[in-house]
Amino acid sequence: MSRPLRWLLVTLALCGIAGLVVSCGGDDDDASTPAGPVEGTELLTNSWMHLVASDFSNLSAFEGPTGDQWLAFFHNDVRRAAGDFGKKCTPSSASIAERKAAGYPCIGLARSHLELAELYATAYEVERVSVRQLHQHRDARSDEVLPSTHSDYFAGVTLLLSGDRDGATARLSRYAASDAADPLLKAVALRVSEGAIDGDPLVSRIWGASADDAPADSSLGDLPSSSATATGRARLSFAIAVAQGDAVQASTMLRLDYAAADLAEELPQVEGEAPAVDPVMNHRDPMFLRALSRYHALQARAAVGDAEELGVLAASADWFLGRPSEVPQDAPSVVDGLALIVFSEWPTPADLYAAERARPAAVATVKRLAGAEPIFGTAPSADLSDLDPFVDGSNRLTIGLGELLARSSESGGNLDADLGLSERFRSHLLRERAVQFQQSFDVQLDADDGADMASAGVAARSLLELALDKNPSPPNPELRQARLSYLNDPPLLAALARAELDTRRPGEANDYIRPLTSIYPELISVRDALTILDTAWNPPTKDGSGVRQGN
Amino acid sequence: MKRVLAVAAVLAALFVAATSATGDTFIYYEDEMGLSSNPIHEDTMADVRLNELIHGALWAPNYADQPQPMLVETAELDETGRELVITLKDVKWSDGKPVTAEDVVFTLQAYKNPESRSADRNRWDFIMKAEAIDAKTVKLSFARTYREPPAAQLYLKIIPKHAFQHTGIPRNHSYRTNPVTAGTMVVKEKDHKNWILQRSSGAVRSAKLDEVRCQEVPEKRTQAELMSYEYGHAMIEVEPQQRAELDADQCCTLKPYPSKSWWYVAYNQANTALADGKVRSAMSLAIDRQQALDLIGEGELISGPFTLSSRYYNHDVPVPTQDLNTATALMEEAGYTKSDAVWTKGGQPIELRFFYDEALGEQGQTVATNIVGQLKKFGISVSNPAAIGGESWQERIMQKREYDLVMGVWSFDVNEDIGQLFARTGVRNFTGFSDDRTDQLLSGAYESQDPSEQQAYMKEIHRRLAETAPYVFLWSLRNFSAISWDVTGAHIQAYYYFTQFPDWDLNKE
Repeated sequence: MSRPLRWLLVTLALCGIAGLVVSCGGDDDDASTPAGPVEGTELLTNSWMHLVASDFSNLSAFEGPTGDQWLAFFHNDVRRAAGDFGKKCTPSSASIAERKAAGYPCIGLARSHLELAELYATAYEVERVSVRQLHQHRDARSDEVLPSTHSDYFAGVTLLLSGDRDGATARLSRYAASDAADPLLKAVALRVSEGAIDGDPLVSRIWGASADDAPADSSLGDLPSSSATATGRARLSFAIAVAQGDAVQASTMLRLDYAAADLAEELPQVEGEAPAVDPVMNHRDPMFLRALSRYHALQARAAVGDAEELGVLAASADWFLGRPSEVPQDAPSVVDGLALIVFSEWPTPADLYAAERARPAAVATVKRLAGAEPIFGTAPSADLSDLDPFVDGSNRLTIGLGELLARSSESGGNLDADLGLSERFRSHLLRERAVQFQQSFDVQLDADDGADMASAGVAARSLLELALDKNPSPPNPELRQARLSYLNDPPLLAALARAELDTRRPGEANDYIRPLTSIYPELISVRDALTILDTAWNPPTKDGSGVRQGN
Repeated sequence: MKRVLAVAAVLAALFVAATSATGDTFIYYEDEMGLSSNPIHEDTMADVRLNELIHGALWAPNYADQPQPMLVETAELDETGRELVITLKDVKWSDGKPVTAEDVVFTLQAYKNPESRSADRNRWDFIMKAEAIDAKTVKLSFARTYREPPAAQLYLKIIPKHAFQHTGIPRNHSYRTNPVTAGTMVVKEKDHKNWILQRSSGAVRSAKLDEVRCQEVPEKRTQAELMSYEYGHAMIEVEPQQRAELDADQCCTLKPYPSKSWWYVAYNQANTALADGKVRSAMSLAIDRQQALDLIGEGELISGPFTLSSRYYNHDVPVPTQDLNTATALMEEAGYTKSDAVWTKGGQPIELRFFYDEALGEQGQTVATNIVGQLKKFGISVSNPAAIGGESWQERIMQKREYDLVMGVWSFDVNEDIGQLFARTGVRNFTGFSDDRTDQLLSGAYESQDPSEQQAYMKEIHRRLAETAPYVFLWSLRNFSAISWDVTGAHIQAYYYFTQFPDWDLNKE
């Protein structure tokens, strides 16, 4: 059997980086002796990892006309993959099998956009919570902080996004009544505060919980312009187009200055002995990132077309669009549905389907494998020491999978090492367990700390940290700078940021967001929201500060 | 084969020095082990880790980095926000005597007494007065008003008054190796390569493990191999070169050790040439930082005294790239001429002594050699880099300041207080850097109550320090720690590596 050229190149590249760590390309005596499945891993013989390891030619369809795109997708260079898949995808109702000759460009496109939708959805939550917490901090210390004219507007829309309609309308009404209000924001504040009460479909779609797109002719009325809010207005226009479900129109509005705030407010410094530094409060409405997530979900939906066999991807897109989603009844076999899951965390199409049905608790594989590892069948507990048995179990199963893959064919072991098949599986188990913690306990920061922050919240964070690829070997410096690799996908880094924020560590959250901004400049707003919150929570002080030599 | 022999030699040394480990002994490796078990003389992160294990603090971070009372039973802030009354738990020192309010008062006095020469003497300036009300009650009076008890500022490790005769504690006091403590572990034995600790019976948080051994193993490669052979349980910091190896090894897992730390080369401004900002800037521009970083692997170049993810990092200040033309122009502006490829002034070349922190090991040597080479190529006469560590570092670099260029690493807790390094009166300002504007900006940052203003001050300080170049700001590395899979419950935190150690255990299976 000969490996397709492109994936052979991946292998060589990874071997070059990993050096002595992985055995690359050599013969493996054990691997040449196919045997029965390792105990407990029978449930993984139907996984895509096993399919690929047992016969590498199963990847040949991903080598053809869309080889470069799938390679980018494999390396989690998702934005590039989406851009390039988009040039080759013509949405249709074709079956999965009918798409094979073309290299599944629309499936690749939909999956790339779904990754981006997940990235921005999580990033949106990080920004929303950070901005909410910052305004709460300022409100609690109104006698200490510098006065801000425009905080009412941005606190108001953030409260609306957070589901606090009364709090939101109070802040927005107050802003609208202010003489110093910006003309554009004043008009929007009026419209939003009224719309929030009246159930205006556009307002509800952009800032509220409406699952429906706004009518195509909906608008916020005639809005005045102001130079101070030019960027904010551009973002608002984009959000309106997305709220109307018009991804084509929205696409034309994405040339934005992501470093710029919606409104940069100069705060009046109190004169004193200290020099003036012109403090600026960079206000941003977090709704933009939610709109961006929905934009990518719309793109995914469009790529799927009306293909029934891609219904699971449509359902996933609907989830990110905030709509009711309907996952098809029967999942295809791993052979038939390989394009749906190859290079993903899901071992089988059935796992993917089950997880989509289970959202927001998108956990399937861990539950399915409880027969192989009984610890997987137990509910997570708030005792941090209970993490270890789960981690041990996932390690055992990962080793078992590695052995299974090694025995599956002559090159199975090498493929596993080169493409990180079993390591990706281990990461998936840990991430699913983290989701179980997050869904089982009160761990998420919002208006208040999660009650289980210091126990289950830390556990979820620890699991995600374990899932992180500590030694990424991406194919280019840009991905390396962003901490992306074939194991570290953008949603994982965003999830880590969320878990860090949930445990009140905005600085550490930025260790995952800030590097991503080099590829995803839209996340600069999240970076800045985290840094200002970190400053509010941990202000400059000499008091009790520790500085030491060395590491 | 050589490598195996080297590891065997290290093992022999370790086991000669220490009695045989039991199954309940946790072993961790330091490049350079902690020198002092007296927290008032904590200088390095190795000291911090050692003292976390043996000392009890008033408060310490919980799993979510929020302050958790340790020795404190209750704490009440009065209505002025300036007085905090603390009652202590019933805890005993390792010699059986009770921990008292007098011990808290004594600890603060000892820190602040100039005779103690503690580098943390200013850390507690916000506590104007400490009074023992009774045996278990202490009142702290603050220099400013607090809204709530400043517990996160009071991670204060307490030492026993009865172990000392005076609040001025010399660094060579016997307590440094033979302490009386109230933490999770107590010091059982110490030799030149090992600290051996055993479980304390009376700690606030009781350890699951009986014994801890901190072993000094200067070579990272050897540490990694010891981990790989499953002799040790934790390697504090794994270099990029060993990361892939250990990640693939079934001995251990890599955990992020999110430290706020960065590398630097500091200029001693007592040197006439280096007192000139133009010369410092020229030398900074003569160095290709990326070239030096590439020698040791993954990291991120910085343009000022913060990591890139810091809330204070000024992203508008670019990382300087090597610019020999501008560097040359700056040297000429400073009155230097180049003759025979060497910069001279009044016929005298610049001659500099270069040191680096011994604890940086091979990485430090590699980078130092590269930077020295680059400076020589530019026309500055620099000595071959010399490693310096431990007490010599404290004495020669920090106190006597007998150096011209020195390369090291600073690690910060969550406060990232660079004032200690760059304020005129900063206790760790060992370069003699003195800049009115920096001092004013620092004051502004400390006094401000507004996050946007605080951030503006700190970002302006970043810009100012990049401009005035007291250091060459090099890079921050992503740190990972290797922890044996045999260890259960291991949870490490930035700056506070062993704070949750009581919950660590070894798998008995």
